[in-house]
Parts: sequence; C-alpha cells; structure tokens
Amino acid sequence: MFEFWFLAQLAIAGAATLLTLVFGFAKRSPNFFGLGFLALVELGLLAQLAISLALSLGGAEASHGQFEFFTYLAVALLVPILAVFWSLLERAYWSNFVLAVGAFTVFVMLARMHTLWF
Amino acid sequence: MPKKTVPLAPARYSGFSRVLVAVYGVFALAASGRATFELFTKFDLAPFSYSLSALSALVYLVVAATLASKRARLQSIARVALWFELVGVVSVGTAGFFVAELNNFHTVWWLYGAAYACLPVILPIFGLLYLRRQRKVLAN
Repeated sequence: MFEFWFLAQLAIAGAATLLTLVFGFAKRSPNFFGLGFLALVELGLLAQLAISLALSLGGAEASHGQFEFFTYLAVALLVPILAVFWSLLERAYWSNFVLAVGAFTVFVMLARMHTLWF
Repeated sequence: MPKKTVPLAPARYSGFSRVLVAVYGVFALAASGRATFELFTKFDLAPFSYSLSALSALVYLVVAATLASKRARLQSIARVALWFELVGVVSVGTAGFFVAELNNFHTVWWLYGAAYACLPVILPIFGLLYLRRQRKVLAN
C-alpha cells in the first residue's frame, strides 16, 4: 500500500516534469495546469509525511536510515514551494523550466526515499 | 487555451539565468547535504574525496547566490566560482584515471560528475556563456 503511494507520487512528479517542460518549449507563460501539478506534488508529499509518520508511530521504520528518510522528506516538502516562488518572481515561459527543475528534483528525491524505506 | 507568449529579448536571458540558478540551488542543497552527512559519518574513509565534495558544495552555494545578480561585482564572483568549478571537475575527473584515491564515487566530481548526469561539467559552461552574453547585453 505504501509502495503504491510511492509509485503514484513518482507518476505525478514525472508527469509534472514533462508537462512543465512541454509548456516551456511551447513558450507558454506559467499557467494553471503547470502550477496545479506542482501543488499536486506538494499535496502528495504532505500525505506521504502523514502516512510515514503514522507508520513510524506504529513501530515501522525506514530500513536504510530513519533519520535520512525524514530529512529527505522535509527538504522535498520545501522544493515545490521554492520552485513556485522562484518561477513566479518573473513570469515568462522560462518559469515553466524552473517548475520542471523543481518537479524533477522531487522525482529524484522520491526515488531515493523509496530505496531508503524499503 | 489562448496562447500567451512573452517575447522580450532581455527577459529571455534573465529567464535562462533563473533556470540555471534553480539547478544550482538544487545542486547546492544536494551537495551540502551529502557533504554534511559524509563529514559526520564516514569522513575517515576517503578524507580527500569528501573534502572535495564539501568544497564543491560551497562553490554551488556561491554560484546559486551570485549568478542571477545584475551587479558587476557579484557577477565577477560568479565568474570566478564557475571557472573554479569547471577546472575542478575537469582536473578531478581526469585525475581519476590515474590516481586510485580519486577513482571512486566518493567525490561529486568523479568521472566528470557522471553520477549526476555529467551536469557538474555542463553547468559551468552554460553559466559562463550566460555571463558572457549578459556582459554583451549590458555593454550595448
């Protein structure tokens, strides 16, 4: 079940990366869909935090470093927020690439968190 | 969906620098996290490689903080840091073929940063090109 959530989040973050890249190359200005996907990524991470906290309280543990896992999660939670902030300081089609960098970073961090947990 | 484009030429360059800064921000975050972790848990394993990682983390932080600036002084700091990074990654990457101590994944710069999709060697080139272009734009 928890693994399924990881995969779902990887799919969301991957889709967000591709979508914002497409918007960027199409020279669109930052829009509802790109930003919405970043918000989805953030929501997914919040749910992840709730799930992994609940699992930890129930006695489960990340098998390769509990502390590392939660450090990654805490930093990953900041990434979409910073990406949206940084991209909207100057609204141009380049903003989409900034969002793509943020989404891809979360993607990589999730993959790393997956190996840390299982 | 109506198509909205932002065709201003100067914004193009500053937009590009924003993306570069975002990537450098991620690298600064990743490298300093990694360096801190290594410093506290396994520094004795490969002290030289880990020191190099810490040094590269510092360089990423400096570039992330100075690259997008319009001020000439900060731009020249960014230029120095980028050259340092480029020379560092090329020399450490090359030295890895001859020096056993550097031929491992303990440093970010191993094999020209292959573990990070070679971005450590690509990024400074883009950064330096951006600064050169920026200087031309400002001169005109």
